[in-house]
Amino acid sequence: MSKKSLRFSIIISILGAMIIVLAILKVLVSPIEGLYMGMGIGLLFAGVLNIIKYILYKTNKEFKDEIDTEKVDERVKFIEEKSWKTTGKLGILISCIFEIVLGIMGKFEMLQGVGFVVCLLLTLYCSFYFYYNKKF
Amino acid sequence: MKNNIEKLRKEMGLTQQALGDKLRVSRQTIISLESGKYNPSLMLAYNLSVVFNCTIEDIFDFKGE
Repeated sequence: MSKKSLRFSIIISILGAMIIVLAILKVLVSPIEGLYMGMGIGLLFAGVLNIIKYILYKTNKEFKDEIDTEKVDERVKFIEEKSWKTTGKLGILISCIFEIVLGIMGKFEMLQGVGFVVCLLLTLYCSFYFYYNKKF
Repeated sequence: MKNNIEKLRKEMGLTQQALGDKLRVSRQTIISLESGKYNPSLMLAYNLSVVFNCTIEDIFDFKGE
């Protein structure tokens, strides 16, 4: 964990706190109730969590070793890649089923939106397949 | 894939954590390797052969695949 990551976490925390304050003062108003408040809490929580992680990393040797090993452990990378692969495949499959359901329900505007996302994902897949096929 | 990692590790008197530290992988990875749930990369297989001072064929049973 680098100082750059700590700086980023501090910025995120400050940004989160600012959004919360502005949402409480009703400077930031959204049509969806609690949107900015939720966003602020999310940012603040993520930032503070990362700061705690950084402090632990610098002070606790066991924790540092665990994090350092995790970064280079090939099984962790393998699991990450496999999870993304499964997520991608299932995501497209679920979207396609959703498309059929939307079609039956006659919600054609939503159907178009979901269809666009599916097409974009498949185009990205084909592009990366072509790219990696050239690369490796 | 079947392997002799557990046997070789015990022969060397290493714990799973100690072997993991030598290979810079977690103890969980060693557990998965020993149980044959996870097949290592070529690099990790090579590093295992260096630690155990034997060939990759001595560690992994390729014929059983």
